[in-house]
Amino acid sequence: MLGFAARRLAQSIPVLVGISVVTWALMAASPDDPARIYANQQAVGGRAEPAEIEQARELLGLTGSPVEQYVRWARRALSGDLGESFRTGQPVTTEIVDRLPATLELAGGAVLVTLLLGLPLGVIAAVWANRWPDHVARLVALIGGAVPAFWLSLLLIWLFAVEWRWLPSNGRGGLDHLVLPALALGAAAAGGYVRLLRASLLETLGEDYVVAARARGLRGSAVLVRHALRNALIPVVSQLGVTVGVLLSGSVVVEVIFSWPGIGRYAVDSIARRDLPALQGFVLFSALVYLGASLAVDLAYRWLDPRVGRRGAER
Amino acid sequence: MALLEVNDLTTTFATDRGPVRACDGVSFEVERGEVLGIVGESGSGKTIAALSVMGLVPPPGVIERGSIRFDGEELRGAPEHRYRDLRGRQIGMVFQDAGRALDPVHTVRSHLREASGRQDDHGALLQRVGLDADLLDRYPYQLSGGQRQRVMIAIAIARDPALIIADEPTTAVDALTQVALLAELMRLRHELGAALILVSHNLGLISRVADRVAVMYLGQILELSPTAELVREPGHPYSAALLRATVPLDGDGTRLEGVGGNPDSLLDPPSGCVFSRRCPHADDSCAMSRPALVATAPGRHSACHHLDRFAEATRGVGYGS
Repeated sequence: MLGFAARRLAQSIPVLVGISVVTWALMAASPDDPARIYANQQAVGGRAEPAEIEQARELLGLTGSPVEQYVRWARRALSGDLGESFRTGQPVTTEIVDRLPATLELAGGAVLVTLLLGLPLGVIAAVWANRWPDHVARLVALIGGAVPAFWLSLLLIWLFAVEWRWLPSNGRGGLDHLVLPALALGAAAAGGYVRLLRASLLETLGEDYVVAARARGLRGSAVLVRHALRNALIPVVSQLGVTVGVLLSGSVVVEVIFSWPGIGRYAVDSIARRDLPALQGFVLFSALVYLGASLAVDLAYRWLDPRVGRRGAER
Repeated sequence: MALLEVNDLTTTFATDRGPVRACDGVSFEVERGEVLGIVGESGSGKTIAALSVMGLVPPPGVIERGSIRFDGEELRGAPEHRYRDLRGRQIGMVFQDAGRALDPVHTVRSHLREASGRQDDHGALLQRVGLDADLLDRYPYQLSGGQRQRVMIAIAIARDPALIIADEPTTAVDALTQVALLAELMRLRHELGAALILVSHNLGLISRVADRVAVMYLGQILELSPTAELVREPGHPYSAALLRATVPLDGDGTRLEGVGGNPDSLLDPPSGCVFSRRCPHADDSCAMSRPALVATAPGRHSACHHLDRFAEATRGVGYGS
């Protein structure tokens, strides 16, 4: 298992290099001269002198050939230095790390909501396929998938925060603050899981090994959980990796609506202020999250499906 | 009282093109310790007959008619928990393709634990089917086809059942492995004193081990006879045709013949006798009414309108003559 993890980790090195090039190129390919943006933001009156712009260029490491620039940037990035935010002057790394717990909390809550809604509904839909529980589950899934997160967010705020005053409408605090944004984010993703698990489970329920498990006297629930569901979860887990990636890096809309102090809102603010180092930090972070999620999926895959990544006697 | 008595079993599948009778009025008995062979082409309903006995007819199939009595107890309509007590404990089943019937994400040990209900001693079970105990922690994909099939057999015999149903147990493996597997199955059956229903398309294979043979075509049993007598003197035109299409054990270079005609479809079964469209002895009366399976000699049953005519024409067709 460790050897597999190490091999898989080594395989992600080229991807990491690719990610770093693209992230760096973000600065170089910016339609506005980053040095000018920075110098203007620093200058009194918002308009920098040419000399100040050149100074800024030096400061931001934007001199020399592109290769030199990239190597300089990558070296600093490797040691965790992604430069300072144009807006605050604080190290971007610190700013992202400071916001990470909030985003992790929201993503974790949303994943929990997704699984708690999606998996039971998916199982119900498959076990009672084409009967009324299935129709209800699929309708719920369809609505969940069709409703945009921002609309659901507003609806939830209106109902639970404004009308009934049960839960706070914005900000981060205790568990009560987490409920609404996690619901809004998680419900949207759950619909896909209902459909995915239903299809996957219907397939495994028709497999010979499920009939064979029943033929050796196993009770229905054991056949469902140990054989049908266990196999049906394999594609679900790979989808979960994508979902976690999306939730960690892309919960922008919901974070903004609920004033959630996470990384998504940080990205939006950075875009509005043309804070290029902060945006670079966000892009790099998102890419790393995806990479980490897909690595976790592969490890989970191997645990779920012993055929993955092992040499067998015969196949 | 026979161990298993199946009477007028009719299992129907609803399809887009109307109901399909996979088993149509099937009746047979299995005595304790007996080996009954069920032979037929693909789609003859032999697998569905086996699954019907197990209470495992896949949806949308339903047992429409008939009775299944095991050890005197009526199983048709029995609650699921009653079936669960029988499956694996009283009736063990060997599936056709162990590569698909073993769960890919569970080890051999995990399968045997489920099958035996015991937490240990799984190695001994493996050794009983001629496998090394060190295969216990292998996954199915790490085994050869023959090894997988032996694991299937180990699962079926784990609780010393009174009846083993083996559905094409050797079809998925090569010829040499087939012989070894069949011998293993027969040896274990003998040790357990269990009855065996051996389902196969291969009459040659069945005729080597079965006490009696049921010949199925399009969901119906056309002949049910002691093996030796059926092989010596088939009691139905279809049995005779199957026999001519079978490689004899003492192969003397006789040319094999096909059954003739194309297999009929359950979606469009012939009226009257189901074999009438392919039967060389058929006349108009065959398409009119379905012949009943009746006793023709002690222990022999056949469903044919023209047995006398057929007997005259096929004298000397069997192996033994």
